[in-house]
Amino acid sequence: MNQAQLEQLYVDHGPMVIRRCRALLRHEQDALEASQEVFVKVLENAHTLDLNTSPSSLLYRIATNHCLNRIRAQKHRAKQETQQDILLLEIARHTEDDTVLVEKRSSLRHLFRRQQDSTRYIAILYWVEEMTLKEVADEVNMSVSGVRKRLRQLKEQIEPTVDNLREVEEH
Amino acid sequence: MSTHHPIPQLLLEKIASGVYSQEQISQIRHEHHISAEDLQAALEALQEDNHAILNAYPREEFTKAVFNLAQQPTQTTTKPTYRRHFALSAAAIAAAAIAIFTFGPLTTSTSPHNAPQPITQEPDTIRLKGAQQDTLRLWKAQEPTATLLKQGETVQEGDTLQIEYALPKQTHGLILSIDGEHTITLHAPENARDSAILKEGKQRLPYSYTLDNAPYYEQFVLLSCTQPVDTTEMLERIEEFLHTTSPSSSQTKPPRLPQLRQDCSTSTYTLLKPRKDRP
Repeated sequence: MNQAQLEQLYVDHGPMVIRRCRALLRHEQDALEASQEVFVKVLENAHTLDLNTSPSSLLYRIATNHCLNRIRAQKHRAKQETQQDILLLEIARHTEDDTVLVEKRSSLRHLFRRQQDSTRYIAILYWVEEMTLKEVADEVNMSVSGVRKRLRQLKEQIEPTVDNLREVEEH
Repeated sequence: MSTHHPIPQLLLEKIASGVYSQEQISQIRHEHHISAEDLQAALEALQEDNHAILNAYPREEFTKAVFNLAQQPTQTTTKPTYRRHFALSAAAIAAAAIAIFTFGPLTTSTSPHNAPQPITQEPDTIRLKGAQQDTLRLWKAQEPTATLLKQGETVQEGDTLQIEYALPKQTHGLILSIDGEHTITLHAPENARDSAILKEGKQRLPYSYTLDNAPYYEQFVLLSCTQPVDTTEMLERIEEFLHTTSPSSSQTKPPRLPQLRQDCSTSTYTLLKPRKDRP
């Protein structure tokens, strides 16, 4: 990928990536750095990535996973609460007030760390972004039943900590 | 008219990118109870935000930074960790007293010394002529220098470590650590999905690692195999083994890992951490 191609990719999708990183990291400088790192990944893997079919989906997913990893790294490095909390808190935030959340952060964080990237991404799309099962399945190239199974398994683990999580659609 | 369910951000971004047909957009609006007016307003707001972002971070500036970043051979950022925790029940902890829990001797194939050395004076890769065995070493960052830690040396929460290994030839393998709470952290490869190749010669991992407050010890493990390694599968094997043992409040030494696979060997490097009383 040459400079002109990268520039065009940035103009077309850079704002989305930065917006995504801002939403997850909640820190402007971190979001900018993370966004640049996302484009580095794209640059380094341009020969294997399909940037023609649905670049929005691809970049959104890379940005999400990269920012989640960055959050994990920073939490590990700093070992202190920051505004950059783990994404399950976003899920929980839809169902609980912040006071309750503070007490649940530790267990949620541990739980979330143990999930595969794809499961975390599915959880975010379904519980945070409130996409439908079909929409999530289309995004991750899985069957609806496969997505439903992942969500149900995760929900079973989350439920002792977070109440009132959105039900996984039956059909 | 306000929406009860805002449109999912990803879908909004894709609509703005022109990915969807009008029929698909109608379907999305229907699914998420979004009026045509609300969708139009959301798209206009997104467009404004796009302009603001591109003004704040012009493409020339941004892409130049990306190319510069890509050209750096190693980054000094803290690695993204693949960290797994075990939620051990009280029963499991109590069972520690009778669990099969063998302790590995603090052995190493290195001859560590702790004379402070400027870490930047050594190249990151040195071909080791005649290196006979796998070696793992830990450096403690103490700006502007780094100190080579001895096997069994005491470290504490907040210490920043850098991992170095040396292999007589390239192998398949992993570097990970196990702390006193039996949490596994993967250090190499950087991500469990990446290929688990350890290069020949002396290599220093390009990211640092800061110790957390887990008690007793941090045992680093270099796993070297002749056949390809599925990182996730290997980590799960270690997890399973650790499930049969238990971190114990009365012990300060790590468990000795079993032979994980016939073609694999392990080298360990253990650092001790001050004991912390737990409620």
